[in-house]
Amino acid sequence: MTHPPEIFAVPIDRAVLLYAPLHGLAALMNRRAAGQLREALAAGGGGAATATDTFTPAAPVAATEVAALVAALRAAGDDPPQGRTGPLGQPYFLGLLPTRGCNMACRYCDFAAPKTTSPVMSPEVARVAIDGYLRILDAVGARAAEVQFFGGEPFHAPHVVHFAVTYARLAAGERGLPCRFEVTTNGLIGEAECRWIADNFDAVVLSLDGPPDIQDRHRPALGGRGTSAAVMRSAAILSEGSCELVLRACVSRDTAPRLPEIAQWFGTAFRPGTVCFEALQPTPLSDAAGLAPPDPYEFAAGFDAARRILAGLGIEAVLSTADTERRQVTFCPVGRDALIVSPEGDVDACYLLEESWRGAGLDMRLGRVDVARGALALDPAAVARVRGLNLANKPRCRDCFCRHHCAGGCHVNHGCDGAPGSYDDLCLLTRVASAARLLRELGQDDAADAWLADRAALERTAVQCDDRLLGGGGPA
Amino acid sequence: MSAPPAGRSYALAPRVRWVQDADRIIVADAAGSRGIELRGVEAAVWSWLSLAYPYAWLVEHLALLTGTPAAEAAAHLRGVLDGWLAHGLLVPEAEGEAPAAAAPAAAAGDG
Amino acid sequence: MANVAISGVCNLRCPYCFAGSYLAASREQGAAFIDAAAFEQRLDFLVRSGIPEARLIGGEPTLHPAFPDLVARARARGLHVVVFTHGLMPPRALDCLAGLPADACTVLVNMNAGAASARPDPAEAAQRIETLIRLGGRATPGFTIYRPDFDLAGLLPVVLGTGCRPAIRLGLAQPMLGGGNAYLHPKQYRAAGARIAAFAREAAAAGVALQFDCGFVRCMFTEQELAVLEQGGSDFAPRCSPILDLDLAGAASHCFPLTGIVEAPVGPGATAQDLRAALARETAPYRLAGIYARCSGCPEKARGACTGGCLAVTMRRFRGGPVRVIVPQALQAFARS
Repeated sequence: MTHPPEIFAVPIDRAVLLYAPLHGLAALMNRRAAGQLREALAAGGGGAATATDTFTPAAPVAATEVAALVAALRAAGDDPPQGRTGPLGQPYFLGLLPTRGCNMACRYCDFAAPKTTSPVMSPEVARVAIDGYLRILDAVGARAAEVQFFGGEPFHAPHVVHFAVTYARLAAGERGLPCRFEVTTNGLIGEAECRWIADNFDAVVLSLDGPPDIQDRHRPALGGRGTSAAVMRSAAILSEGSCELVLRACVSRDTAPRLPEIAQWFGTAFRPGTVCFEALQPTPLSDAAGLAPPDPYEFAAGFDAARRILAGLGIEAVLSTADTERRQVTFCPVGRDALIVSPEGDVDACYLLEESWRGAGLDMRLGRVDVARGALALDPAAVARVRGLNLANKPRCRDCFCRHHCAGGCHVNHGCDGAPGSYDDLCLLTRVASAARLLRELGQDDAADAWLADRAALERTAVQCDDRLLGGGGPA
Repeated sequence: MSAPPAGRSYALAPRVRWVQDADRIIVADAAGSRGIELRGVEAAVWSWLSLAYPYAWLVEHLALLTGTPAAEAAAHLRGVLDGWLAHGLLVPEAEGEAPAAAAPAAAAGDG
Repeated sequence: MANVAISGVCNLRCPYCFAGSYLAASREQGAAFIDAAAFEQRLDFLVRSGIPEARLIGGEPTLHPAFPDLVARARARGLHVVVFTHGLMPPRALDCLAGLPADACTVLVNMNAGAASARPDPAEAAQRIETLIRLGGRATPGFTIYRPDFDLAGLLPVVLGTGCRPAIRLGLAQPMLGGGNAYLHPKQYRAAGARIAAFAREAAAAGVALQFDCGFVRCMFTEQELAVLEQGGSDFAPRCSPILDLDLAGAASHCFPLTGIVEAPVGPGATAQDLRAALARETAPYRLAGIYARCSGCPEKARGACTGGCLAVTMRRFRGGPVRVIVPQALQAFARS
């Protein structure tokens, strides 16, 4: 009998965390039980497991439970997520970049675009892009539209956003389509503008790294002035408004130990529906500013604590690579037919600068907004090419238990061409955070607490190269 | 920023309150105990007025919004404003509420 | 129904209290407690309106120095007495209520009044339990939800151990229109709904029904959760209408969060029906909207199955200004009717 291969086992101190994402199954067991499970699955025949030991002090895994696991894992699980194929389907969303300019000088920014002289999208480009997108939705029988705004800072060219939102709402409404709007912003915006945003957007992703001392150090305005007062005011307005507020915090080595404090502050000072934490990725700017990426283990443990604090306040905490509820073959909109329009009218799969993705050896160009013809000119071959940027082409991720929810992270900034199991810091923190989440969902809080407090145990979990129970990895 | 062109200024009538909903703007006129729903182009114009865009910008972008020539858009805009004046939602500024100080959406926080 | 304020004084400072500005105004005006003559006028109003109960509110109504007398006056009119209290009442008030027939009064005891943290003060909690024991079947414990991490678990043992009515009355803290009090934002309603539904299962298993004050909305519960509430015998229904809060000065407001903002004078011979109709007309424009941007297009609201949530929350969404336009001189061709 061929066993489903997507069964993973990672060490949690002296125990073993079994994880079979395509079966929707996780379990914490002792090594003996895990060994018997592996033998039973590898043998492929019947026969009950004979483990008589129990795992103490947490929940015991008795012989009957091992047998139940064997039976469950022998059954067919879900198919692994697949990339899109065929003609262009419903785009994930239409993305508009009004400008790549920005009014802030964040110390870790990896955007090399000019701050104040970047091109600005014309309203004609926005209109043609929206029309083209809505025609695609008509063609595929879609029932809703979604437009997202990125930058730079989108409100550095506010008139483009104001026009595009108004036009998209009107045009979608004429087709009987509800239209959802989302924007990612630095929050350094005027009060009237902020109220307009709160009224007109369904979700606002606001970058705020923490209390004022953190925000002002990480994310100053052009000229170096602090931005915390203004951004906090924006967060307060958005908290009171109709839109969902998503706070996005970049965490550095210095701020990782303060994750619980940051989470508590976010949850009590504002009303976010979600808080996203991201580990700072090193850039020349961050090096010059003395900002370093967080220690992956400290970050993962801090995220676990932050998540529990926010959960108590009814707020979801997200680490985008460690969301175990996802099943995906690509981490981001790339490969999902998202159409992201640059200020110049190029249609790309990614919102990052062209020089960034070309520098990574990738071609994210899908087509162009043809204003003269009033149409989106998309290259089907380009769409197919971009769809190939998925988990199947990330050898580093081959045997990692996080592969089906992390999917390798950012295609541009997180290369996964290395040997299977050659994990970098982002991989390590993803693995630890994911395992912690699984343990919490199993109710194994004592085991999670003890493990997270033991760096050596965390490292054993994180650096295991091959997590496959039926591969070379798994418990000794 | 240059001074606004000479002309008559109109603002929200006293006791008129409004809210932007998902697909419409609801205007509550407490003086008349009536509620009015603005949709489509009217809602777009109202939203832009709340952002203090100048008249010329409104005409230009209304033309783009509706795919009509500028002259037609200008007439459309006058018609919309005239209707609001006739319904008492807008009044000459001396009678209306003090406007907010924001310039046309160009302010960026404290910077 | 109509609520009658008899006290402009309270000895607690609940973070969610929406009577804060009203209480301050009452103190400034020196009108701390209603006098007997004015109370008789309120009773006249209730009787001619055909309202069978006298619902006594404050501030804290049991702090009225003549509380037993007021209760007696209401009872003399054949009215059922309802008292909204924080439960830390003076002995004379407790004796008075405990002495009434069980079917003649209802005492709603707010079990988390005064709590600035998620857990109430132990001494106050103990006193409230004693109040419930003393009042027995006359009392219904209540809980005001004003923060997302609320915890109802401690209420079940209280209900089961004190002999009070087997019910818990849930209230949603609503904002004062001018702000200043703690309240649960509509964005937090869905998470709150899930918590309530989870508790409802436990409560139903223990034979305790949930009662819902105004302001709750359908969409804070899933269909499955609504079924759980119904099966547990709850009285959930989206409600928001003019309650008629009669203040110490005799004015009738739509409800306490809208005190001083949506009011109608109580003229001679006026009835509750007259006042509700007037207040409904005045607030009708705002009723086109609801607490969420999607309410105006919601089919449940359109068919009357939901009111769109609390009117005070809805009205807070509305704003005046800065809608403004400068029409160039050359285009001055507007006509005003």
